[in-house]
Amino acid sequence: MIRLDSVSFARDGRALLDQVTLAVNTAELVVVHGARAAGKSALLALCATRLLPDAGAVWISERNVGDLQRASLPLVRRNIAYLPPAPPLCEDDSVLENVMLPLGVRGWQVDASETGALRALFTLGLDDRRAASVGALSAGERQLVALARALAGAPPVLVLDEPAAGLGPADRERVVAALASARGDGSAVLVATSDEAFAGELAGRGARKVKLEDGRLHGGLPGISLVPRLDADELTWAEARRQEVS
Amino acid sequence: MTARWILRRVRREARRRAGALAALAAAVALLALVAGAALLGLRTVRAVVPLLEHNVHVIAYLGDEVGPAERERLVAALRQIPGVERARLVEPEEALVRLRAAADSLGSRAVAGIEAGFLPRSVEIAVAGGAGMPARTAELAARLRKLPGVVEVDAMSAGLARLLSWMGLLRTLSLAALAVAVFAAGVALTLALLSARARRRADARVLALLGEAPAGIRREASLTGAAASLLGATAGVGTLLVVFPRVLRGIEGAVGLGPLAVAPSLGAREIALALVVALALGWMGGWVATPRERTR
Repeated sequence: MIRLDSVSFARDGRALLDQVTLAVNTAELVVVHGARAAGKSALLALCATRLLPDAGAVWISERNVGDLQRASLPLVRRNIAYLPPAPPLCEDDSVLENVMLPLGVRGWQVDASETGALRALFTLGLDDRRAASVGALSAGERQLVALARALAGAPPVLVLDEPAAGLGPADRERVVAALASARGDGSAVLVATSDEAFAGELAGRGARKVKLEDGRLHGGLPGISLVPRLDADELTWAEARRQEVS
Repeated sequence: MTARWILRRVRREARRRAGALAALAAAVALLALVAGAALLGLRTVRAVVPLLEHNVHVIAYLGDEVGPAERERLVAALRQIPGVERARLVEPEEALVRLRAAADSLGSRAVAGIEAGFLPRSVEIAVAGGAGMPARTAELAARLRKLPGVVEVDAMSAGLARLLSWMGLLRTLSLAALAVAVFAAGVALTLALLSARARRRADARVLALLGEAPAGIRREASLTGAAASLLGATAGVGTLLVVFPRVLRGIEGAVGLGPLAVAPSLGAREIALALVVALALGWMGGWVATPRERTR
């Protein structure tokens, strides 16, 4: 679903990512953990097509993002539920309206959007706050609303930057369960966190854990490739790529 | 987004920006009203001035000693003067009929006992209209006064000059009002846009994050802006269509003219054009009011 091929990215002369290769498949949950300013947010922004790499390629559903026309980008982004750091919300709107909005953008009917949004809110324990104005919420509740907005409608790709930031233990547990559930529903889920414990909790629910350090990804266990086992189609694609490169 | 979603978002936008949209509608209504009034004012001036000029006559009152042959000669000579459109003899009986008609229209019975014999014969001279008419009329009157047999000349030139200067002032005021309205509407629209732009920035960020296309991000503000602007223009034009005929009747009454043969009005095409321009203006306003989010 998401594939990064030898991606390098620098900002203000500082290399944030160096030859990073990573794949997140359908129904897979990958958690990238690392210290602050390790380049996790840049990695996720690249996967969410918000940034373009300086070198290498980002592939979303077998499409090279670098080859996409500018007008096509919104169509790709609609299918990637991206939770950036400090996610923006529609402050004057209710919690429910905020969570319904991405479904509307994806072309869902209003009633179906409401149902999908309510389901996401229920998953995160926010259903009783559906009518509250977002402007009146606490920081933790705002984070949950942003996360519910990302989860609503079971998007094919979830790219979540610090989804548990500022949450208490009960909410964190809900988030872990929700992410595991999203993976179970077939979404490709990529999570970045600097919280080792949270990364461990996700790993405990079947997430593949990788570490980002000095702009490079390091595998959690020796012998396990960061690129997951490829199916027949992907092998054909990989072979073709190798031949192109050679 | 589906049509229902768009409608929902437009309603939300209208609720959130009710004040700014009302200001936009009011600014457009004022602009339509003043611009339309200025246009109609100019048309009224164009229609009234020739009418005034046509109704202005130099009247030369003749002495009783002037015989029929001399009168005919005088009228024929006057017709030869350049700038004189018509010259005709008015007999006392006709003058009395006119006087009675004028008195009746004013509700006066002051002329009830007057007989035709009290009134002098006169020559009624119509001077060609156009630039410098008051001066030409005054010059003609001065020449007539020197003619033998002419006892008095009523040139009406002072009144005409006054009326024409009033008309010139009305024309200038119409243009000034138009300029002020355009300027005021421009300032109001710019302020409304700047205020809306700040408020729309957060929404634009959210929609861009969710993968909405740039046109979709701007759609809500454009639709609400177009609707408010169209509403304002309709109100402005509608008010003008109702109020202007009454104002015109008031002016006609004040000036003492009969109803104009063709009352100045706005054509269907002009109204349609005004509404389309207002619609486009509102749409563009909403478009500009939404900050552009970087897509890459």
